[in-house]
Amino acid sequence: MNESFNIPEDISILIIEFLEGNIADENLSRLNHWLKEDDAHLKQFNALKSVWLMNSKALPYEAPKIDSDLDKVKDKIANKVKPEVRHLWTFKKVAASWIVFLVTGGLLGLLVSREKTEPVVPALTTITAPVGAKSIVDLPDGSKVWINAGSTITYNNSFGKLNRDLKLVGEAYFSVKTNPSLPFIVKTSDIMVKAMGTKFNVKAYPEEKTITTTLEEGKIIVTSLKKKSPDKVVELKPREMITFIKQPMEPAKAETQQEHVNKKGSEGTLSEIIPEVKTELQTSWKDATWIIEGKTLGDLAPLLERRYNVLISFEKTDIKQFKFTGKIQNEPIEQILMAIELSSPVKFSISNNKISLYLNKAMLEKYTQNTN
Amino acid sequence: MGLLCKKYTKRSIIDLIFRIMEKWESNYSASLFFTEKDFDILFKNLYPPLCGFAGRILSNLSEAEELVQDVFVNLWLNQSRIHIQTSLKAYLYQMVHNAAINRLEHLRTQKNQVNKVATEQEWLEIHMSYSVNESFLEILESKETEARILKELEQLPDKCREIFQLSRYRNLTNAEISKKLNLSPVTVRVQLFRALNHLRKALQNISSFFLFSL
Repeated sequence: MNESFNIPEDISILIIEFLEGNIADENLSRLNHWLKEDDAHLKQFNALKSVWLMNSKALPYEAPKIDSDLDKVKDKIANKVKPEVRHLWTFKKVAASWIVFLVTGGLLGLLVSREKTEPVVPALTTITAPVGAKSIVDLPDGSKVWINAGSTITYNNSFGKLNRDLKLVGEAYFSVKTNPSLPFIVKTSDIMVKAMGTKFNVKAYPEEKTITTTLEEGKIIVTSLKKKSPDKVVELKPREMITFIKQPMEPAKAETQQEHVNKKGSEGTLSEIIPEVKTELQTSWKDATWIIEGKTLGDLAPLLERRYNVLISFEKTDIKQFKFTGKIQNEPIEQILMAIELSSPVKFSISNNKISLYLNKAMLEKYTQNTN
Repeated sequence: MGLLCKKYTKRSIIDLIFRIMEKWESNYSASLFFTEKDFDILFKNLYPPLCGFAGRILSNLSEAEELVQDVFVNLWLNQSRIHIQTSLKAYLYQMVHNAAINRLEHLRTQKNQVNKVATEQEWLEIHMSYSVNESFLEILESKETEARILKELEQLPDKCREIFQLSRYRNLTNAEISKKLNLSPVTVRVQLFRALNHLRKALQNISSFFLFSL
C-alpha cells in the first residue's frame, strides 16, 4: 500500500517518548492534540505501536507452569464465587479450640467433612426439559423458572452471588426475585433481557424465525445483541410484547409460517412494541390450562410437537391456514386431534408418535357453506 | 482497579475508564458460554502467548502471568455478559492489553511521574485507543516474522540499527543509549523512529490483510 506516512519530526520524537513511557506532561498534551486532529493520525500512531510491541523483547515462558497456573486461576474463581465459605474457614481457624470444648465430636466431624466438599472448580449448571415435558426450577437466587418442552437453561456457579446471568435456548417463563443490586439477565442467541424483579416469558427456539419476549409484571429491558439493529435497547412495560426477527440462516428450510413474521419489521431487528397483549396467550403453556386463540394449524403444529413429543406432517399445505381457538387442559394428544377433526375439515391418522393431517373433503363443503 | 492515587480526583479517572470500556464493549456482540473443558483448552492454548504479550508491555514476567490469570478469571465469571464480535483470541489479547496499560498507569502514579489528573487521562486515552486486530496477531504468531525483521534491520544504516537493537532487544533506556553512543537524546529518538517506521512498512507486506487498518 502506498499510503502517505509523513509524520513531522517533532511529533515522531514525541511518539517515541510516549512509547518509551517517558514523556513530559506538556509533550503528552501536544501528542494528544496531534492525534485528535485527524483519524489518520491515530491509525498511524497505533500501527507504530503495534510494531513497537512486536519488537519488544519477548520474555521466555516455561510450558510446565501451565497446569499449575490453571489451578491458580480456578482457585481465584472459587474464592470469588464462594466468599462465605472462606469466611467459615477463617472462623474455624480462629475458633477451633472453642469448638472442641463446645460441641460434640459428631458436629465437628460434620464441619470437617464440609470442608472437604468445598467446591473449587468453576462449573456450569444446565437444566433441560425434554421434548414432551415441562419443568419448574427454583434458581439459587430464589427466582423461579418454568422451562417449556425441548428448552434448556444454563448458568454458572457464581449465579446468585456475583451475577444472575443465564442462557436460554427455547422457551421459558421467569418469575424473578427482586434484587436491585444484581440484575437478572436472560441471554438468547440474538437478544438479552434484563430484569430486576418481574414476571416475563421469552420464546427463543433455535428453529424458529423470531424471538418473542412478553412481560406480565414489572419492567424489563430488552437488548438486541446484533450490532446492526437500530433500536438496540427497548424497555417493556406490563402486558407489552416485542419480537426480534432473526436473520435467515437457511432460507429453504423454514416453511412453517411463524407468527408475527409478517409484521413490518426487517430481519435482524426488534419489532415495534405490541401493547396490551393478552399475556396468558404467551404464558399459559406453563399452567394447567393452555389457552390458544386464533392460531393457525401451521403455527400450532410445532407447539404440539414439542409439548407431546410427536412429529406432525401435513398432506397439503392449504390446511395450515385453518385457525383454532380453545383451551387445552392436560388432555392426551389424540383428544386434541379429535377436537380439531370435529371443528374443521381436517382428518388425522396417528401411528406411534407420527401424526399426519390431511383434508377432509366431505367436511370442507359444509365448512365453506357455514363460513360464507 | 488499583490505579487510584490519593492526590487525584478519583471520580474523573473512574469515569474515563468506564467511558472507554463502554465504547469498546458496544462494538462487540455474540454470546459466550463455555464448559469447563472448553475453558481448560482455551487456557492451555492461549495462556503462554498472552503472558508473552503482557510481558512485552510490562517487561516483567511474574506480573504478566498474574495479570493474564486475572483476565481468565474475569472471562469465566462474566462469560454470559461479554459480547464478542472479533475472535475470542483477539478479545483476550485486547483484555490483556487494557489490563497491562492499567497496571502501567498504576506504576506511573506510584512513581509520582504524574502531576495532573488531566495528563493522566490523556495518557490512558491514548493507550486505550489501541485495538488489537487479527492481522497484528497473524504477524505476531508467524514464524517468518522474526527472520523478516532481521532481514529488514540489515537494510538500515548501521547507527540506526544499533540504536534500535539496544532499545528493543537489550532494553536500554534512551538516556543509556545516548550516553553509550555519545549522541544527543533527540538524535537517538529520531533514529529509533526511523527504524520503527521502516519495519512498519516492511511488515505491512507480510500480511495478506490490510495491516493495522491503515
